[in-house]
Amino acid sequence: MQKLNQFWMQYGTPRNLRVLYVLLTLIALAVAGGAPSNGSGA
Amino acid sequence: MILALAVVLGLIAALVHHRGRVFDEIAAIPLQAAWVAVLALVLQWPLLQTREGPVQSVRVQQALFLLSHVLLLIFVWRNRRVTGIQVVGLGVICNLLVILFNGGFMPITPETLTQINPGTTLGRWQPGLHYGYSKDVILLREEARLWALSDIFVLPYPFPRPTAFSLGDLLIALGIIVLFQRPGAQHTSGAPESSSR
Repeated sequence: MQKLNQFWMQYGTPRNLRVLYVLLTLIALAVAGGAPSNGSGA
Repeated sequence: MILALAVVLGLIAALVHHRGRVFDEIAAIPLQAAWVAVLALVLQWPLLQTREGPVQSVRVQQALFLLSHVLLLIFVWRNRRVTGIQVVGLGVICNLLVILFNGGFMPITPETLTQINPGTTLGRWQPGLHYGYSKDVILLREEARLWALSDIFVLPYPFPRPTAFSLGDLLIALGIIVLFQRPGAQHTSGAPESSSR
């Protein structure tokens, strides 16, 4: 738990959280907008 | 897979282009209303989790799927000034058009299905059925309206996950890659290029 707190203190900056927000948004957009068809859809 | 690849490729290209500033540039991309894109994805989930069967059995899932595209258009409109989103929007529209013209599903032919499902024959894929775990309906080529905009492109075996995709998917992928390449400070259409960079 302490290591997790340290990790969060070090990397949970506003900039990094904003980067995560942008990336997750783009992933959601990519998957929702496209959703290509994969094999083994039976 | 192809669209996830677009995000990865866009990131790699951004790393090469922006180098040490890449996180600052990504953080500066002025995307808004992320919840709309996430909600659209959630609404598609029921259809993408349904196995193969008659299209009549997935009407509720289909309605949610169509509603998700309305949300995607709202998201694109809210972010229309972000470079690259216009191309994404064009891809969404292409996909939506062919879906609307084909009863609310993306058409896919038995020929394409045999390519992404190695070992199966044409007879395995019955036209008129919803192709399981996807947004597709199995249609013969001559029955599919706007066929050229449907899932006609294939990344076949031995690609790790054989995949069929459409022109709209390609445009969405391209838009996402473009979006990563423009410096964050320039993510408004018509913004002048910065000479200091």
